[in-house]
Amino acid sequence: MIIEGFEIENWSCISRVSVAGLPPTGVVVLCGPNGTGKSSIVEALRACLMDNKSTSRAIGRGLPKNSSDKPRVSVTFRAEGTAWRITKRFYSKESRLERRMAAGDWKLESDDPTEAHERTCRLAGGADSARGLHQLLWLTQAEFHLPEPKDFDADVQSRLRAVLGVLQTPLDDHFLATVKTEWSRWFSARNTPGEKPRLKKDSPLDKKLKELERQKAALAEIDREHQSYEDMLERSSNLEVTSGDLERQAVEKKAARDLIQDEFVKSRERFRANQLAVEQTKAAAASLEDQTKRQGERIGLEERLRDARKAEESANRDADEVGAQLRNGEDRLREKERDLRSLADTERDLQSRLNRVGEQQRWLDLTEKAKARRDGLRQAEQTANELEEWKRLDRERPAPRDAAITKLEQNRTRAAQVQADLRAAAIGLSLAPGAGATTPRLAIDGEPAADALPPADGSPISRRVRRRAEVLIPGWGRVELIRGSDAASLDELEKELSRLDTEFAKELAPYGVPAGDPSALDQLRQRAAEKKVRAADVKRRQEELDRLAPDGLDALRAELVRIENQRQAGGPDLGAGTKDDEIPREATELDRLTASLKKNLEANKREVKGVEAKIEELRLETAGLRQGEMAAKENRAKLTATTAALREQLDRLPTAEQLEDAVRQAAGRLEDARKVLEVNRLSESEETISARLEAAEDALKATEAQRSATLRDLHEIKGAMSRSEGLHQKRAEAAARAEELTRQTERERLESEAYDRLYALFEECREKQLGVLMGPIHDRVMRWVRLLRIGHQSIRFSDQFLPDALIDGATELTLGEESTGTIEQIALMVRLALGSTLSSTEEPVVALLDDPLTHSDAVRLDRMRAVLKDASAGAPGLTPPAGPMQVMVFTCRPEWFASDEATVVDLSRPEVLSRRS
Amino acid sequence: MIRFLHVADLHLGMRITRFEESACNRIGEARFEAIEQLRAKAAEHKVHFILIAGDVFDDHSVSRIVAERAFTLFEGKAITCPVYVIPGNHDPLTPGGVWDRDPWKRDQPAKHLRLLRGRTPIAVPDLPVTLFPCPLRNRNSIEDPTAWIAGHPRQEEDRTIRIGLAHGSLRILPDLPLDDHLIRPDAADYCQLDYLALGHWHKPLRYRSRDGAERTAYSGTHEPMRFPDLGTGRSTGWSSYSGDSDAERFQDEGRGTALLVSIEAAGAPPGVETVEIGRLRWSQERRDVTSQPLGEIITHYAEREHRELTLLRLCLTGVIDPQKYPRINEVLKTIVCDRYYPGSCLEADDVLVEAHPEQLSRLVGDGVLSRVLERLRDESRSADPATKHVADHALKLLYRIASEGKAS
Repeated sequence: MIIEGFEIENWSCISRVSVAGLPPTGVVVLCGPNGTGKSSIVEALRACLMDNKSTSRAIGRGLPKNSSDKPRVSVTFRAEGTAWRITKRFYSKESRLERRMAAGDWKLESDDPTEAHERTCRLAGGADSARGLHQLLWLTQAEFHLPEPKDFDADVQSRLRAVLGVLQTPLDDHFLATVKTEWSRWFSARNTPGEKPRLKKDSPLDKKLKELERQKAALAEIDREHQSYEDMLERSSNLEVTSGDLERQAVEKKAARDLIQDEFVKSRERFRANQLAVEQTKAAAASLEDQTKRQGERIGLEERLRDARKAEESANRDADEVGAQLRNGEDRLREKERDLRSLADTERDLQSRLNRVGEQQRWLDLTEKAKARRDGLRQAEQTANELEEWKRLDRERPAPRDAAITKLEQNRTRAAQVQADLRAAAIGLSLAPGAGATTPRLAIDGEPAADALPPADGSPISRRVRRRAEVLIPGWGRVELIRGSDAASLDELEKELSRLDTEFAKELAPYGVPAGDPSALDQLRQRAAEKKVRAADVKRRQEELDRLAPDGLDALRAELVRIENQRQAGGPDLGAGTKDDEIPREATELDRLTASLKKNLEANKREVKGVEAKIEELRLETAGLRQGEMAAKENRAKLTATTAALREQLDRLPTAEQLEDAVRQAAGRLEDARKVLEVNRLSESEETISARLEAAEDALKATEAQRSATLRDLHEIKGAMSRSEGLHQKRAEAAARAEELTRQTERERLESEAYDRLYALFEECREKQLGVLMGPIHDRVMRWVRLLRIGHQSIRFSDQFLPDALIDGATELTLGEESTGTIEQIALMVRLALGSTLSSTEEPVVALLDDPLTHSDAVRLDRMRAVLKDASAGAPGLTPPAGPMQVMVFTCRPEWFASDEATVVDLSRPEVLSRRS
Repeated sequence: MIRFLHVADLHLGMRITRFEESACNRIGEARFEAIEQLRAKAAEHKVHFILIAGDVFDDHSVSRIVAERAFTLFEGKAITCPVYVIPGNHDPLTPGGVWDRDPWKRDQPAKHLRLLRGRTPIAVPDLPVTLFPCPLRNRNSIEDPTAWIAGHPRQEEDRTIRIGLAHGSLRILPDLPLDDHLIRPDAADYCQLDYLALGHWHKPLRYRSRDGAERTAYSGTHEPMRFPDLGTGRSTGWSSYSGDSDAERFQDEGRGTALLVSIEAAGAPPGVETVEIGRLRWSQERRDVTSQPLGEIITHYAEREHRELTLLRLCLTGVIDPQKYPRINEVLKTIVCDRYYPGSCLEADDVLVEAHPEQLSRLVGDGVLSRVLERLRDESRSADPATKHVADHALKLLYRIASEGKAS
């Protein structure tokens, strides 16, 4: 169906619009500014052609406001090769469907509202302008999304299938549904295309796999148990062999032991004879040894006796010699002791004289010292007196410190200022008595009245008045001058001056200077200056006094008394002794004498030391000699005793001849015993028989112990083995269960993999087939896409003929992921491509776009103009061919869509469209 | 003349894991039932005694019930002759083993049963027979168990029939494990035996001596325990305890056998006859659905004799029509699983489902499914076994779902 023209009256805001002669194909731009009524025209067309019967009261916004006029819409359209005109006056039964005859006149087909409506719908392609092909091609204002696949009109899909080819048969649907149902028993989703999906948790196969794992674990446990029994089996066999071997060994070892034991019994007599001979030989040897020993002992004693005698004689000689040396030493010692005593006497004399010289020297020292102390005391007392004088001056004429003076100065400065202020505040009173006038009397500021004599120079009498002045002029009367209201400041000044004077007097009081003395401050300054000058002297004198009498004058005096006392007490005895002992009185002589005496004394002391050392040496020597003498005597005594003892021992022993004879006899007995022993000597075998018997016993015991241990192990294994009863069956059952589960899981796994393969292959094949069938649509859209420079390499269409993904290399996007403008452009292209597939030269279709491409930029809009033109022209060369279309664009921007070939209808022209006022 | 039955490798309490638990139990039970048949054969042939050449039990750790049932079977009233038993490598005479536990540890002899624990000649009462038992004491050993018999050569005046009873591998095959109780091939001659009754190998085998007489023989197992000709990797879970567990000598014939031996006198050649005493027959069979119509196969297996005592493993191969394929699972599998002995199974994984070209478009249409089918057929020809395996199965599923879709 295409629209040739329309006439609308009383529809919404439109009073009347009339458009006719629209071309059957190509772009028709119906333009007008906002509010013209473009959308109302579209609504009216939808209502008239498809949505509403004339009797319908649900035409929405079509009913004009504030008017009783009924909306009337008439549309001339071409369908099935014929031109038709449908006219509906809504809210009435007035409906007319007419057909244009060959001559151009109109023939009424039906004026029944229902019939006219239904036939019109059939011709227009459906009773709903939002369904059928109109769902694709009749866009409401700002509509730009494609319909959802599930909402896409099934009839249009069917028509597209009819044109494009079979895509998916009902059998395919059944197959896919069955496979999906089965597939979902094991799997939930395929995460990545091409990858095997993960098994659904808790699916039957998953459960079986887990059960299989459990069974395998149980079987492995039983197998381990069985293996341990198998190990025991092998071990028990080995132990049995070992046990048998040990038993054999025990028998052999017992036989060997018995043989040795028999041998041992048989050799018992010979053992005894041998034993006796051995004992006899041992006894003979012992006897010989004893006699030989006694003989040796005698020889030894005799030798020792000889040695003892020699030693005794030597000891006697030693004792005598040491005695002589001792006596000589003692004599020398006594001589040295005498020398020592003499030297001690000499030392005492020298020391005595030296003491006396020392006393004389000390007396002379004390005399000197007393003189020095007296001089010092005198000097100190003089300094102390001077200091005392200065201190008295300080007490009598105290001097203020600098801060006090500063304070006083500030006081006086302020007082002067206040006085000046007072003076300034005072009233000048000037009296100039005339010649011959009497002397006036003045009483100023409360003072008693006094005569005011004029100055001698004739100048007027001048006074300063603070508050009140009374002038008494004899013969004339009284004049009173009284200050007014500013007396308060005068009071404050006076008060401050009084306070300053009081403070000044108080500060001055300690210094004994009268406050009224104008030079008081100067006096204080002078005192302070004098004190500063005196202070340096006081300090110096004080330091001198401290040096002369650090502990005070009394201490100095006491020391002088003490020295005097010592001097008086220590007077020298100069005349005592011989002339040689006479002590000189001169200090130098005394010093010389002292040095001489000390020298002599030192020499004497050295000599004493030498003698003492010699005496000590001699004492040690004599002590050593004395000990030596005692030792020699002791030695001599010991040797004498030894000699006597040896002689006694010798006397107790047999004689040498007797001993020689006894040795000879013992040797003879030993020779006889050895001969007997030789006869009874044991063979090597006889000698080792005991050891061999013992070794055989030990070996037998060891073998038996080993066998017992083996048998014990064997019994233990036997006990353990008996517990394996039934394990074989248990193991078989567990293995059977595991095998059965393995078979089942393998079977189910194969089933699941087969279904998964079928599912994957079906999807793959369907997609591939879809690609083939949608080829022409795809290519046409992609040509337009490239024209708009939209960067996608291809578009994958779903089996509902709608874009499934935009593909750009490895990247895939859904259409919804693109920008709004791109979505709008691609969606319109797909609409036009699909619509043109269902269009034909004989039966073109109309695409009615109300305000489209509102989201496109100017560049793409310009290119979209070419797309619209291309789409409306159709592509007869394609397989299947794309038919031409009538593309009606309602817009307020004609420049976006108009082109040379486009038909433009200006709705703003009054002759085309008039709005309701 | 003396007559006796020679059996071996009873493997009572056998470990088998290949089947479902209940089937395993029933297969194990069949081994006891086969002993009952052995007793019946002994009575039927009026044998003087029965020789069991080792491996009465599958393991030492069999349950007490198994041990007691075995004892009772050989001691019960139904037995009419003495039964001589030696331990084999599965139940060697080791301390604490099954022979050391009740009821087998009781003092010998019992009424009929005589467990020969020692390697000493045994005179069979009232018969001119000397037995030379060779009980095993280990699972594995490099020792020839019959070697000791050579130390007891026939005495000049000895006219008794000398019979050796041993368990081990006769050294007549190459590459036998050295510790598999190897027995010299000429043991019967070397030890001057009239007959050497052997156990250990599960197939019956007779071996001729120098004089051409069959004096050495394996009786085979009394009850089958594997599918014949079953390659490695499809074992039943049983282990031989030998170094080469799946070796040919441990494959049985799918039936249980004993040897009926008769010997006229010392030095006379023994008469050896194979007697079938097994309860079940194990059968592994292959059918090609390309060359044989599926209906025919179904009929064959539905009507076969002794189904209830046949443990069947039916393996199908070939290419089949998708419409017919469901019958394999729906009909043939039901027959095999329900009418044959428990544990029987049908394996049809190797069957390829392939539609005729004219069927194809009818079945899968010309939509996506037809392309899926093409892809799967490509993958089915893949060199990668895993891809092929999944693709084959997916093809079967595709045909099934497509058929269901068409039907609905």
